[in-house]
Amino acid sequence: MIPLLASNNPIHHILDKPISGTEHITLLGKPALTMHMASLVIAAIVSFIILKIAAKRIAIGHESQGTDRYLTKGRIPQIIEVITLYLRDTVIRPVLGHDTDKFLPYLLSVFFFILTCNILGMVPFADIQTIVGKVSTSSEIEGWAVFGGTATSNLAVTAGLAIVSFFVIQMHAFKSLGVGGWAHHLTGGAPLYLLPIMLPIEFMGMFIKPAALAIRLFANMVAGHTMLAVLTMFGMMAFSATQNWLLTGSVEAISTIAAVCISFLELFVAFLQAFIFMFLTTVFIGQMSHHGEHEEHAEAAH
Amino acid sequence: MKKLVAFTALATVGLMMFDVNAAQAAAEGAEGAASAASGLKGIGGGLAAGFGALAAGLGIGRIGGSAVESIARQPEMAGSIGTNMIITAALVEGVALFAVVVGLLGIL
Repeated sequence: MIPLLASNNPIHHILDKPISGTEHITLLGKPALTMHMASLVIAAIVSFIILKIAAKRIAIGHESQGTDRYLTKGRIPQIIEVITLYLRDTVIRPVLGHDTDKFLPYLLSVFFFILTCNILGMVPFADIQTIVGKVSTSSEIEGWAVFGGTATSNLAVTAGLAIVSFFVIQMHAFKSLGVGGWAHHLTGGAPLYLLPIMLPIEFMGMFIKPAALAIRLFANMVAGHTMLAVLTMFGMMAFSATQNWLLTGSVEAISTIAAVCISFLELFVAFLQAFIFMFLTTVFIGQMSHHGEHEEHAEAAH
Repeated sequence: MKKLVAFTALATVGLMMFDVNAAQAAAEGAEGAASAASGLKGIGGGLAAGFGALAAGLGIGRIGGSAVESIARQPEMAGSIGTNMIITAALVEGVALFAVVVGLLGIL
């Protein structure tokens, strides 16, 4: 049981592993069913169920309820309502303006999905399954688990989200600016002699910005969990070095306190990174639309 | 006095972030100790992550410093300034984590 608290490799428990028992199912030589895939599906189902129930409670009810129909019942629907209203009115509407209602479903879905993935990753499902498996069957299988791990700590998952954002941004650009306007946007308003530099950079920037979204989310999740794994390793490292339970206990106590504090930081980072992903997608969508209006707003402000 | 307090607070936060990345860099550095080539890879990875941590500390320290200064000038805007500070800090931290990813790529 004790080795569960620490393997000698902090990255080991963050990397994607095949679902125990399905190692033989492969696709093109790699395992086809992995734990992150299972976590992804479970996060999607969980977020869908919670948001569906919350939506029903938030929506204006039937007339028979009288004025009560405007109330939101339950704590979690109230939290979701507060968050959604804040995001819509204070974050998205100033950027997108009259396009808000078109993109609100996608942006809020991205936010709540990434949030669910991140928070489910903070719960040590994989270790719980391994412990339950060892206790109940007293087998010697190392690290048996079906789901667990943070889905967003897998570059494939965040790249998938970023690719969807890329398509949303580009489709909006083509619809609102047209092909000519999109090409003009690539020049960035620079004079003609700068075009040989501007065009390649802007064209690459079109792809690099969603890639940065993906890498930012991936790196934040991996860094946080690696940090937690390293802190948890200290106790076992002390034991294997000194074989003295008193010293190990004191090192373990301090590293546990540090791990708890870093877990609080990780919860904050979970919310923040979901918000940043959504906010940057919003900003990129907003950049692709009304250019003329921005100059009007600037003049009105003065 | 206010600047000293603000600077100390931000130095602490910056050191915390430095600790996060330094611990990870140390873990990475301990990994590739097998041969000379992978030793050099380890040094490269550690240097990348270390410089990333340094840059993050500098950048976020400046952001926090100006945010606290402007809150001191105009306390009623504290909410809006604080929100913008958090957003900008997350963006700068994202760049530092790009450096950490490069370090990881150098190790593995």
